[in-house]
Amino acid sequence: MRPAPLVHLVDDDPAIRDSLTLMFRSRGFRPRAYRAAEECLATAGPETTGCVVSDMRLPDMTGVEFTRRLRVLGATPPVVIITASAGATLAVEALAAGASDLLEKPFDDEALLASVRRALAARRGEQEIDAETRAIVARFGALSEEERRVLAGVANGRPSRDIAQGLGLELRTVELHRANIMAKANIGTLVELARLSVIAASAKAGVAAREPNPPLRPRRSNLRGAAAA
Amino acid sequence: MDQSSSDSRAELHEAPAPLRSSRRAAAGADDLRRAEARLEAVLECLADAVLSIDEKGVVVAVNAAAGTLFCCSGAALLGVEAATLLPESRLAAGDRRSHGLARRPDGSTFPIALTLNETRGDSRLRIAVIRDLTEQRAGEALLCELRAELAYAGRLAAMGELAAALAHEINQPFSAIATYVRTARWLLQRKPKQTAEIEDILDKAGAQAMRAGDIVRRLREFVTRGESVKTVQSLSTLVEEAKSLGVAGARHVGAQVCVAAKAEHDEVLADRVQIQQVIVNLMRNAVEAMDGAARRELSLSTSAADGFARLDVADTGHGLKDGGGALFEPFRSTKATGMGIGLSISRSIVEAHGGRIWAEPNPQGGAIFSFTLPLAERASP
Repeated sequence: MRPAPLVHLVDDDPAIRDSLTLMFRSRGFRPRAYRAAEECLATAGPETTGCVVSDMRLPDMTGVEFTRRLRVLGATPPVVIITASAGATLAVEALAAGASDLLEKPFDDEALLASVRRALAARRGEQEIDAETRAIVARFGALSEEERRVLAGVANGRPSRDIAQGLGLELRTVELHRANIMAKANIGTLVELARLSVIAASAKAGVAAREPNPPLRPRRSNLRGAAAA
Repeated sequence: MDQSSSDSRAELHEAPAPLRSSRRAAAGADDLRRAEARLEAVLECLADAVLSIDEKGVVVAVNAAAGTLFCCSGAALLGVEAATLLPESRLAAGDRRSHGLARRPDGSTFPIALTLNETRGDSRLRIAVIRDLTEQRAGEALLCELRAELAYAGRLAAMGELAAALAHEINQPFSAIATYVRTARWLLQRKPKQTAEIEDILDKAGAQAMRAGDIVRRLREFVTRGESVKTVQSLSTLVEEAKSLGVAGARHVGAQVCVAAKAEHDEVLADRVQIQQVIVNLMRNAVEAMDGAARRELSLSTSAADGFARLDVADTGHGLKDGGGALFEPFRSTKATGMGIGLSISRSIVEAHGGRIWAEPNPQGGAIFSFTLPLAERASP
């Protein structure tokens, strides 16, 4: 039996730290809480194991910067970002910086647990595709070839005008595709779209299994390749 | 009317100084008549009512304005006891100048400024000069109403600008509640014997609900168009309450907020929401000034001295431009966003409360914004 995995919780709100500590402990993880990014970075290095769950807006830096700093230190644990004020741009930025997932507060704790488990499994190199991932892949499976190309652009945070130009399509067509993608995949927000497309792409390409989250490698190229394939 | 004019002539014999001097110059009857006519003309064209009251307290002469002010013919006021028209206490006290309410024969009242004088000589008459303050009071009320409206508009604008930060602030406790409750439920299902731990978790969820509710309540008070009501409040309590809205922006730029000093006896007579508005405004400005600064510390200190309670809001931001002279003028914002009315509204609120607001450089870098409010008179212990 594997030892209980570590979860490094970084959030400046005491109630969030406390509630997540309780949740992770009761679910068989070993939680460690930090108030600020620097506190966690001070203990981080190549030997760091487990998963990081970090707030996007930390007192000393953003979750995106924190993720980059971890990678610079050679610490490779997957990072799940939680945020009370997400925007699609922020989500894309976080995922591009190498975060494995982004959840909006308040989140379903099952979703957070699934996200952490998925990230840890990917790090161990196990293609442990859970029910949620399968469902996500299935949701994106219904997309047409052109919709996939538009999706790649949307997930990279590019505005419709840009995507239209890049693909040689009319703006109206791109907007129509966007609406169709949201409807087919049953997605309400752009943040959800960015997040799900990343999960679907990494699961499909199997990138996560062989070469989990290479440090400092921008996720966006990953995404684009997978979606276009 | 004849009666009235003969009486006002009678009072001319005891006329004040300038007339007496003319009498001394030429004692002729023509001069006297001229002086009488002049005084009568002066009295009749005055906007203030002039009542002559004899030793028994009865009105014996009035001018034309008296009829206008008291809404009746001048004659109707003659023979009336002055105390039924004017505030008795004021008449008796012998104050030369006072304010109060005058009562018309029809029973209605109106605000007045009253000036009393006495004639010299054997038969003493009291002269009451009455100025109607109705319009002035209405003007003051309108001004007060306009100030409240402007303050309200300022609060709406401030909350609009803070909306994203507030949504974040309210989301935090909700997120904790969701996790607490789900964890408690999971424990109930899997480890139902751990009742103490489950109870503890539920208590924490409850406390977070109160935290969210507190922010929402303050927000609602802030954006409700309420009547301006002044009550006695401790300034440091007002600071504590305003903090829950004021810190919302602080978290956005990662600023630390601390209460550096807290006054003991700092009760002020104040409109709670308006003073909180000033505090939130100063906190927001401080936080915005620190965006991107190396040190981001916001400290709040209250003190009380020399009849005034005082709040200092110190930041470690970019400091004041040009000594900060025009800071409190409207539309002088140096910020990329915002209308630049926050500080001018703050000043109008503080000054309407009888206080003062100013800014000065922080010796440790940044700026200190301060305001004072007169201490409420405390009931004797």
